[in-house]
Amino acid sequence: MDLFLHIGLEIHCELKTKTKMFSSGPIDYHASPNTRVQPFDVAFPGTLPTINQRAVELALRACDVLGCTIDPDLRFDRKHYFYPDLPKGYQITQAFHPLGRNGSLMIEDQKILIERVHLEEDTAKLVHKKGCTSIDLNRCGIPLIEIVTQPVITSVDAACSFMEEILRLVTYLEISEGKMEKGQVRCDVNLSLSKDPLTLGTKVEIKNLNSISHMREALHYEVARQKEQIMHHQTIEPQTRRYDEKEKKTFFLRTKQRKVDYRYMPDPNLPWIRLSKEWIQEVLLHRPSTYQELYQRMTLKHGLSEHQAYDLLKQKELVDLYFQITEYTKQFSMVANWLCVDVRSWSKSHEGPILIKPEEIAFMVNEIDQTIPYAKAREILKRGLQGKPIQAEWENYQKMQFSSQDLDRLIHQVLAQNPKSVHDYLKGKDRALAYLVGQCMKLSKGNIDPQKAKELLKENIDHLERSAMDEEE
Amino acid sequence: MRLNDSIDSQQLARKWKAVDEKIQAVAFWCDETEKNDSSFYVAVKDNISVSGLPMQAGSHILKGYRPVYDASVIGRLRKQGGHVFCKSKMDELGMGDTGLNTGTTPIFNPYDLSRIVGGSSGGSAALVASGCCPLALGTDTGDSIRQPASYTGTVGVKPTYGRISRYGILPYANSMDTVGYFTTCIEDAAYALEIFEGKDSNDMTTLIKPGGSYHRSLDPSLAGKKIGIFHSVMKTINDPVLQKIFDDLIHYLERKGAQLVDVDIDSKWLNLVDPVYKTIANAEACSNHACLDGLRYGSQPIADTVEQAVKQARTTGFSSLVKKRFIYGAYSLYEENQKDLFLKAQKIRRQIVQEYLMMLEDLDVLLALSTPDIAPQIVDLDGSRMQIESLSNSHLKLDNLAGTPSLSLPLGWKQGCPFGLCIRSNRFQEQKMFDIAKAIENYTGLAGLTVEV
Repeated sequence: MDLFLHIGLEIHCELKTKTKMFSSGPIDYHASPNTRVQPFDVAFPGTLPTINQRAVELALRACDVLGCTIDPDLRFDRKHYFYPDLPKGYQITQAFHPLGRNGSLMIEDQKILIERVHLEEDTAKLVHKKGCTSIDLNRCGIPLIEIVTQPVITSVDAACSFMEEILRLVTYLEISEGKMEKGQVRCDVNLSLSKDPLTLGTKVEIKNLNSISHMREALHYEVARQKEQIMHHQTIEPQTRRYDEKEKKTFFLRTKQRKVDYRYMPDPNLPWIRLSKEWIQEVLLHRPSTYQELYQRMTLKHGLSEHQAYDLLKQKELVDLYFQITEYTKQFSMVANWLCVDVRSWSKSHEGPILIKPEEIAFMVNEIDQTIPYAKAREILKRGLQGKPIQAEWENYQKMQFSSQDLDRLIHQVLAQNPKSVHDYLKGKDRALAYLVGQCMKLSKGNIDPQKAKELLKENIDHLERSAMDEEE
Repeated sequence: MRLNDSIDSQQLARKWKAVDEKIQAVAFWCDETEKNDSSFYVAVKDNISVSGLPMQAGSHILKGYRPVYDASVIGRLRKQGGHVFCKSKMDELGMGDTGLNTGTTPIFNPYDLSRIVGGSSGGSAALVASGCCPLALGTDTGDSIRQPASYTGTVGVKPTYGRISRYGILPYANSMDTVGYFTTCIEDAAYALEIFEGKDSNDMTTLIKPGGSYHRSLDPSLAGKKIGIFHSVMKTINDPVLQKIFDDLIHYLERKGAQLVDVDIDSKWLNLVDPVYKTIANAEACSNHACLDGLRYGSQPIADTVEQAVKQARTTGFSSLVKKRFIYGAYSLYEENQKDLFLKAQKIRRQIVQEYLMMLEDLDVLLALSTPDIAPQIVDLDGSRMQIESLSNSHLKLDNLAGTPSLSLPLGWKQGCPFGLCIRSNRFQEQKMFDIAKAIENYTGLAGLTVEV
């Protein structure tokens, strides 16, 4: 029996703003719980929402890139339900007038229709531990966009590809940090199996998938589970399920038979705001490059291979660094390789941002095969990642090179040019040796260690003396 | 202006305590150690947040709650030398028009302790009426300032929606909630608007409109002023005493050269004011008070589960009157009812407002009695804690539906109790309203009216 799969996605994506959607509460993912909270976020009586303009701008950017029709009337509604993650007892969202409608995204030659993109506020985070639930209001009120597709995705792979593409879009356009593992992007999946390709089967929702691999596993498991049920002529009940990452199975959460009535109403505290055409255009004009645009630049202008470009594009921080470095050097391929290998492996084992200065990296790369071999340069860059100053490391290397190769020549030159001083020294005048050391420093432009020069001078003079005595004998 | 009168704060405190024993108008005293004789003291309705002072808004569910921030109006008040002296009692969450539904004892009318004071800003009205303070803050969602003002012989002002910030005001119905105040004379009322008005970045519904120097600009001239008489409302007044006093006023205004015109709105719209108001107010209230779940502040009951805790807090925390309104509110927002109730009410509201604004357009001000009679006896309300709705009192809600300014000013007496005249003008035309009010105050001679309790 042929069964047809229909998948629809609801993607929640936290926006990259400094403050919350409707309050001046700062956003900081590393802050201790309940320390980034304004009276509004606790829903103290009398607090009022104010709209975060930056969030509106980022949401517009998302609507634009997803090809949505933008509603110029910015309006917000209340969605009511009682739950401890929702202090106000309602969430401010855009139920009746989403910012964007009727968009689409091409995935593997299939047009995935996007029903709506709307703005809303995130809920508080509930932390369940040892049978006890704690509430962290830091997350409460972080701006979100929700992207809702039509149930038109027909394979698990396409669903995952769609999700990957969304992650790339929002990350490269700096709409969101786009990290699923940090909960910045979350996905709910609706799926149904039916015997007729044109009608949908019974809708089953899997909530809160937090990585693409989990999404893939959950979908495969759920499709198999439902097929099994249908084979055995069991009916599938509309329901919500959750995915257990350890067991790699989905579990029943609640039935969808009884629909929750959210009692939507327009939020009377927020006036309708008409966004002017000019303002919207201005906002959309000023956006970072999409990853496709960056790919074009890397391959066409910089001559990177397809593989190199794709490899870099896996990690936005590296791409940003790549373009910063290549402001100062034309060694594109060298930079790309170094970023993809050394920096990537470093960033995997280290928290926090990459602090190395792009111009320093460029300097080092430019010196490769000029004053320093590749292997040495790589070592220095590695130390650079650990916070060592690259310029100083390179200078040290140069000094070391001087002492081992050219020092002897230098010493001989100084001794040959100053026979009188040698003579004086041999007579026991120590000051003459100091003068010779000075001459070495002068000739080497200070690139040698004076102590080392002193020793070498002594050694050489002793040697000269001995051979002179030998001759006399 | 009485706001500038110098006072002795110690003496004032003694007076307030003595008065309050009789009228029961104070919810919480402010234990401010630093008292300054040069400033003026203000009673603040207990739904306005004052950092550190308790705020219960007449509801048990907020027991123990102390705001951590000041409402914007409190900041503005302090900037002008005002001090918060106490939080005044009110009907629970602003729901009620009697001053009886306060969660504790009723508030008594200072003119006659057997009568109601009105509500929901009853405490503030009573404190101004009894001479405790020259200014008290209130809020007006349906008639909550103007109706108690009428019953207590005070000037009660509800400005244009958007004039004064609502930030920090425990809401009732956001689209109609208006911060206003009580004074004993029009000069103070005009000055007070200068104190409180202005755009606030914390309240997106405040509007940038050039403020006025209302007090200095007061112009009580009547010649050539076009004054409307709200025909349908006055038709319902059947008390001969009130009717005569109103008629005398009209003759006076005409003698002074004002142009008096009978104006009206189609009764089909007027009859809908009350149901439309209730539908919208209950829906918004039900939503606004969803945050009162006893989890983060207020009465925080201990229970096994979150659901039980919320249920317990809300079951014991609200009076039956409030719960009833929540149920109406929720019902009108259910998906299957929205179209027939909430959305329909919104639609009709727009039509009523259109009719009303059209009526106001040609007028300087519109007049009607604020209430159909003096304050009712407490015993006559028969435990319902609500008054009977009729056009003669529901007409005040028109200004909440439309956002127009409106005030009540003491006009006359019956059985030793005062009643008020309602003066309203078009949006942002408070100056016109104050000007005529000043002229009428000159006629009544009731500026600075207070009563010894």
